[in-house]
Amino acid sequence: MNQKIKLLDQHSINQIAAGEVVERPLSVVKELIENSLDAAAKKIDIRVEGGGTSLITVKDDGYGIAPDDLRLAILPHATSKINSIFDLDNLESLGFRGEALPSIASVSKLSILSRTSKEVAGYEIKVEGGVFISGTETGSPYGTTVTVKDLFFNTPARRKFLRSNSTEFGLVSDMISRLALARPDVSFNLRHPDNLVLNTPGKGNLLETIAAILGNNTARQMVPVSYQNGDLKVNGYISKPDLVRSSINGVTFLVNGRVIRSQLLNQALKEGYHTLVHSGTYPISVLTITMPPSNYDVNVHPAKLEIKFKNEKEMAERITNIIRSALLADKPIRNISLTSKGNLPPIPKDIKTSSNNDWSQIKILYKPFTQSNKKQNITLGRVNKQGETIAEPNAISSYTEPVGQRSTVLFQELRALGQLFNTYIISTDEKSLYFIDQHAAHERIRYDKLNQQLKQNKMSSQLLLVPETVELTIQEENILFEYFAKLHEMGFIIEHFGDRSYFLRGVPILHNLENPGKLFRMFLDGILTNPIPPTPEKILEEWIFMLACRSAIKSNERLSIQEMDELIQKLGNCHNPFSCPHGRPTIIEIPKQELDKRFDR
Amino acid sequence: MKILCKKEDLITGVNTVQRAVSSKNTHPILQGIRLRTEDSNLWFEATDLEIGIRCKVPVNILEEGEVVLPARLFSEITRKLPDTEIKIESVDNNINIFYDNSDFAINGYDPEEYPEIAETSSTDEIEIPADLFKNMIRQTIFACALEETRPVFTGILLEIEQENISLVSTDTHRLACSNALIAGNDKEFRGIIPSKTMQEISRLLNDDGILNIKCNNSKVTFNFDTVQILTRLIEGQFPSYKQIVPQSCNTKLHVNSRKLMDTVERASLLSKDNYLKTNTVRFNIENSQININQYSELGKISEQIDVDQDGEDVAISFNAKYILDILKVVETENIIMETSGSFSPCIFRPENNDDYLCLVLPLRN
Repeated sequence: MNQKIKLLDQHSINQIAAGEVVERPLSVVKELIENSLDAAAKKIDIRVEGGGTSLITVKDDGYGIAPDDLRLAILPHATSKINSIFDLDNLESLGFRGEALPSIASVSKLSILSRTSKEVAGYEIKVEGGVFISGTETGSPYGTTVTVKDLFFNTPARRKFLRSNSTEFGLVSDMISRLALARPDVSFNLRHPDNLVLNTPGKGNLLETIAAILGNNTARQMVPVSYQNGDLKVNGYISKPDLVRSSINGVTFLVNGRVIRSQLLNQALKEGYHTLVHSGTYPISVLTITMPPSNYDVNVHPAKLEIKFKNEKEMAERITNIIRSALLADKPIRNISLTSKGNLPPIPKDIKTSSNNDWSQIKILYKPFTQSNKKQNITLGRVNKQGETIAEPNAISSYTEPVGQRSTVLFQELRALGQLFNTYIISTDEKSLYFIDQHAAHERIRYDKLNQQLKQNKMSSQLLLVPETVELTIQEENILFEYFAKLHEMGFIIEHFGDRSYFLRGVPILHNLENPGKLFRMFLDGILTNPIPPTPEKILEEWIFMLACRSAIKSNERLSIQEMDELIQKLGNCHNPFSCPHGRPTIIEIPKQELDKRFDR
Repeated sequence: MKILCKKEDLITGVNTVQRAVSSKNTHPILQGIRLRTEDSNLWFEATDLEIGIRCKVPVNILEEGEVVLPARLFSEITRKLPDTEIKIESVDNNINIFYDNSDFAINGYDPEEYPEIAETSSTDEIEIPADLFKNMIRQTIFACALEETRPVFTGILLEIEQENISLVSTDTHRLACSNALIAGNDKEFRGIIPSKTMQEISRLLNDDGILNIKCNNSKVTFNFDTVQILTRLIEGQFPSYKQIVPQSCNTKLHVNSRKLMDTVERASLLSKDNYLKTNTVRFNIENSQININQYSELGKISEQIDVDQDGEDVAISFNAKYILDILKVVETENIIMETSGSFSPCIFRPENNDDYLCLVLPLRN
């Protein structure tokens, strides 16, 4: 075989590059929409047929491309977005590689129709499998329309790896939703093929966009987040702890308008909800992070889905704190509606079934967010004390450690009325009726106390008669070096034995803690697998949970009124009184209005 | 099978073997008790494949045979039978219990499927007074590990060397070792016996009588009175404990056991009820005194115990539970404490008795 080294022809290069950028229809849609957004479009219409393989059309009202540039646009690394690599540090546009259009062109039948405001007519070029077919002048409104037909027609192998049409379309619509969330100022309109699947108002209100995408009920249960400190700005909405999903799909992170996936940020978000939601469940969130482009690198993933922050640890901690303070400020008491959702505004019929693209219809979608309706929402039972309820973002200007100031006020006014089923404490502040789960409440009190103790006490270690040998990998060994002092503080006495073997000569002494060697491993693993290294308290958490749970008063235990009052006050002093360490609620509320309503008063 | 017996006979048999009945559901037949006739005795047998217990009760046998009965039900019914003559008769796997003019039928298991609890085939046999062995178990079993991660530590090492027999246990925080003399023995054996087996032996042993131990490489049988206990051994290497026990010390104390126990119990009231339940106790040993000065958010304690001190002053901390565990099994008036510094193992042994010692690793804080 002749194995001479030779340069590949341009067509092959494009096809190989396309493999990276254009993985499936979703990538095409994403690249095209990002182009439209970079062209300052205000309205983007997307039409998808056959899950995206037969047809994708993206039509925008942006700047458009001049006829001369159109032919250039389909050449690799041709871009209007940067001039050199040094522009990356102040990159304001979404794209910059100049790879998307040539890549798409090389694996589909592409046509681009565009007209700039300077031209009197539009110009359309057609490309098939990367080969230029024709270029003609034709009538067109301002903006650009890109039509992608028969995606992967010349790469059957790639087509084979696509999943069913509905799955592919699901991915496409998910991506469009996220892009729409990134740009509430742009109206997105998705049809498949004739049904209106998604339509965002494009008026610049994020909550309206959330309502259009995730539904009114979800939008209503979102808590605003607003934070600014120096270069970092975080805005958006996160769900209350009782609105969770079993997957991370409801989480959207946007960095400078770019939709990104980030393990780091996911972890930071989860951390913010820690002990507020069950493990294995995820909140819904849309968070827009604004920061100087020089603080991160987007050039790590061909589809730019991942970015790398310059200061990861600090970033994660800040996000966690922001989330935490927003949640605690909202006082996440779950309220129960005695009338089964009867007084919610009627949910508009599913827009999927409507093919009528009428703007007046869309208005219905976010009507509940006008001022009067918001008030009604509050009377439904969100805790509002002296109008302190935060309904608008920008309520929290900068982060301070939330010690539950406002919740203390609330709990101080509570007085116990009695006990129900020997399990729930009934109490009132003369405005609402509250039910408190005595076990969950006490568990929370004990947990806080234990955590505090653990932080204060230096751990003693029990020396071992027969040292436990631990074999470490190079990676683990490095972590050991880094955290040696901390481990020592926790009570682990470690001795080097030879190669990467270590002797565990002493372990922390903790009541009921079985197998301390495992704890040591857990710590190392924890650091290895989490982008944010866990604290010793975190590692010991399960043990604390258990201890807190065991020593807490149980359900079915009779309490005196004094005991109940005491419990309520102690709960009020907790860092987060609204849920037990496992994430179950401690307190639920029935507002007086709710009762009035039930009695037709 | 057809037998005549009394209620007490059945209760004795069931009570003896019941703890060996498997509690897990994987192998249903192991939740049964086998009854088998042999030489005018009724044998009760149960096993979870780790431990097997057999026990014989003399009864009146009319027809030989064997049955396997569900343990829970059989145990309940025997307790509730009237005090009268009882006849047990089996047809196939169905068992009828006749009493007065009534009868109770139980569906049994197929005895063919029941694993054979075979006696250890070995000529290596030793004999030891039952009360002595029982005490040795008591002095060592508390130091066994409870967690299963390192199985060798969940059992007690049985070591027979010439005229010496030892039981040794450790959970790596402490080690207990009890020795005894068997005159005229020339057999050798070393094996780790699960602590559950030891517990059963201790429970079933009568204070008078002789315990007979038969052992080979994989199994050990304990015979006494009418009971036989067979056990599997825990595989693995028990640490060479003799090297661990220090031969010399810098500080040696003679302490009154009772006083030490009372003091440690009082001190641990303060430490074990704190939120973290660490239960530590710190001894400051100087001028022939043990001083305990401790405080927690609950309060504080300061006590002095006069001791006979030989050697250096030392301050040393322990898990109070470990000290109390030892003091509970030591019966002599005084206990000897030997240590060589704050972080060195500390040996506790009864005064005038070289057959027992317990070694405790201190806490470092």
